Formats: sequence, structure tokens, C-alpha cells
Amino acid sequence: MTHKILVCDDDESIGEVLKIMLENDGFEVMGLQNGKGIQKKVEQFDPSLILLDIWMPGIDGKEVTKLLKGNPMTKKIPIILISALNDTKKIALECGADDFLTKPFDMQHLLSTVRSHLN
Amino acid sequence: MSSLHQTKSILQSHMPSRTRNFQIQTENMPEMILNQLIESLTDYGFFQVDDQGYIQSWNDGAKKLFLYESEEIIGEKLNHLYDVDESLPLFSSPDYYPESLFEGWQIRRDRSRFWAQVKYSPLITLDGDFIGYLVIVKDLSESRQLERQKAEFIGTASHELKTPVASIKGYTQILQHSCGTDPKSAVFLNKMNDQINRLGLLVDELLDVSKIQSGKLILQPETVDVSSLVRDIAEDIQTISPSHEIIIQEDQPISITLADRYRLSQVLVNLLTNAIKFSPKANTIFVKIENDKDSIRVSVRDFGIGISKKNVYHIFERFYQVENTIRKSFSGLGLGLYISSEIIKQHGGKIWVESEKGKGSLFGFSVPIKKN
Repeated sequence: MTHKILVCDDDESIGEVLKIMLENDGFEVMGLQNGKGIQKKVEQFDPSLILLDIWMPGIDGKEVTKLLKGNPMTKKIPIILISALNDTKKIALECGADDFLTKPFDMQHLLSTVRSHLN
Repeated sequence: MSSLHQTKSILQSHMPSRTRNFQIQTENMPEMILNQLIESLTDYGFFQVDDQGYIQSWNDGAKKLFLYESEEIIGEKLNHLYDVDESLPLFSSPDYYPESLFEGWQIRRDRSRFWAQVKYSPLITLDGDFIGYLVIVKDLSESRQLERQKAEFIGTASHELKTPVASIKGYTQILQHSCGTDPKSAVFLNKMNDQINRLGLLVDELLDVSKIQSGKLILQPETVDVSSLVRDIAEDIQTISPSHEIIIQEDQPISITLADRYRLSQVLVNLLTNAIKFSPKANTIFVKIENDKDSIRVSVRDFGIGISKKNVYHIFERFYQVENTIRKSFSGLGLGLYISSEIIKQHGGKIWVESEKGKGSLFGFSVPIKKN
């Protein structure tokens, strides 16, 4: 079974890099550039995991996480937060995300982190 | 008059040392001149309150800060200047009138707020009677705003600098996995990846320095086995730098304390990579872990170029690098040891160096043993 992953990052090239890395590894990926209306898109796409940038204009990654984790329909979907800050771990734990990645991330580390939440 | 004398001594204690000559003259200064001086200090609000908290005097600085004219506020209660009556405890105990300093919101005449530092200095007569306070108010809105901007800058800079580094690294890694069998491309892509990692580390160092300087390097302590952390990091570095054998010596296999794992790793990586970098002709690095009941000590010994006496005292300073000739052969911003020493200081530990030019260096640090 192909796992579906939703990637949400306002930076086009990071979004593309994540998409290619994950698709090359056999995942089906949907890319979003902001968190606007994410709840509906999550319900439609029904991803197995969400990769989310913390720092986005408008609704940021923390708010999106709280929103999705507060909804019974989406609360079980693992969320991995991505940020350039070294205290991403603290932020991730505070808002209820399942894991975190710090930019610049390593491809192998990204894939192993993603896989660890899918089994 | 005794309150005037008190006012003088308070004023003197607030004056910078370069105005000391001027202070001596204030000893015999007539009250009128002193009042004029206080009146004209427009950057600070100075006023007196009596022992019941009623305002007795009001200078130009206070007018500027609170927007009240003297005649409007003199005779009024101090609580006009606060959201909640924070001044009350100062009048609550008849026998104890401490000097106090606090930061908080102050209320202007138009009910707008400003953040300020406020100092209450009790006024005591020669007979020992408490007659009120001299209050000094310093507007901190600007420095508070600046602090906020600094913190925002660090966040924005982290994002803006690291995002392109992350995408270049990402594209490089994608190419590394899809470049097929062309050996030249593979070599170049590996080099690109190394250089990107180097750039990423430099960005981290610069951001860490901004954090240290604005007091925003905040530790996130957790239970850490320093001994196993040292072994893990030594193993990682050994893989990247097979030129040197890293030999670990320890008296106890477990050294547990509360520390920031990420920051402590940063120190260890810095000391180990420095040891390798500055000992190009040697092939061994010794790492020693020692425990006593209060602290854990880690030292890294190399047999490299060493540091001259002249330089060794400055080695933990920001941007410090030894002589130009050495700087040309060894890259870096000269921030690593400064950041490491700040991290160790924040842990309540110590960092030190023993070195001899031409023979090598020993860098050590200690962290106190803390429990949950």
C-alpha cells in the first residue's frame, strides 16, 4: 500500500525537495504552500502523515498542528514539524506534534523519521 | 533638609564615575541648585512621595513620562500611576521601608501604558523617621522594543538563511541518488554536500552568537548520560575523520546529570573537530571523562600545533583566532570556542585550556551534577 503524505511549506523549493525525496521513496505526495483551509484538504486527501513547516505566513505550523490535533477526524495523523530554529523540539512538543526536523535536514534522516511514524 | 541630604546621596549613587568631580561639589550645593538639577533631568522621572504615598514633587522627566503637570499631580496618591496599586506594600509595614527596584507598567495621564524601571529609595530623617520615598522612573519602552526586535531578527534570520541552505542540500542529495554511475559527478556532489554542511554550521554559529548576546540562548535541560553522549559523538566524528584515532578513557561508565543535550553535543563536536583540525600531523586524540560527586569533567587532548602563551588567554573570546599565518591555513569564524564557553557557563560549569606551542592542547570542561 502506498502511503499518502501531505507536505505544507511556504518555500517552493523546500516543498519541491520534500516532494521529490518522498516520491522517489515510493510515497504519494500532495504539496501545499500554506495552511489556509488545510483541515478540509486533509479530510479529502486523507494522508497517513503530514510534514509541516512551522514558519508560514498566515496560519503557522503550530496553529495548524493544534487545529488538526484538536479535531477527532484528524488527531491520529502523525505530524512532523520542520523549522530552521534549533528549539524546534520544544515547539513541537508544546503544540502536540509527533516529531520534528531541523533545517537543513538530511535525506536519510527525513525518510527514516517519516517511516518511523508509519509502522 | 535631611531629605535633601538623602536625595543628594541617592543622586550621587546613580551618577556615573566620570562625573565624580561634579559629585564632590554637590556636597555643598544649595537646595535650589539641586532642585534645578532634578527638575532638568528630563530622561528620568524623579518625584517624592510622603509616608502615606501622596506625591510631593514632580520633575520635568516625570511630566514628560506621565504627561501630568506638577499642579495636577502633586498632592494626589501614587496609585494614579499604576494599573494595580503596586506601591501599597511599600507603605504597609511601619517599621520596614526597604529600597526597592522593579519593572512594570506605568499609566500616563491619558491612561496609555509604558514599561518602566522604578526605584523607590526611602527618605529617613536624621532622627530615623521615615518620611516617604524618592521615586526614580526610567522608561524602558525603547529597550524593550529593541529586545523584541532582536528576538524577531534571530528568528527571521534563522529561517531566511537556513531555508536556502536546506533546499540546496536537498537538491544535492536528490542528485547524489540519481546521478547514476558518472564518478566525477558523484565526487563533485559529495564536495557540494560537504560545503553546504559547512555553510549550515557557519550560519548556526552566527545565530548562536546573536542569541548569546541578547540573552536568548536558553538551555533545555534533560537527563543526559555525558559518558554515552561523548562516546556517540566521538563515534560520529571518527566516521567523518578517519585520519585520527579517538581514544576514550573513563573511570566510570555512567555520568548522569541534567543538561541540554543539543548544546552539550555542540561543545563536544567543537572540541573534537578543533583537536583534529589543529593537529594535522598527529593521529591520536585522547578524550578523558572523570566524575566526582559534584561534577563531570571531560577533556580532549591533541598533539597538534598548540597555542602560544600570548594567545592562550584570549582563546575563548569572540572572533578570536591566533596569528594570521595560522588563520590562512585553518578556516572558520573563530566563534566555536566562544560559543562553547558560553554554553558551559550557562550550565554552571567551567571550561579551560592547557597548551604548549608545537606540542598540542588540552581543552577541558566540567558540568555540575544536577538531579531532577
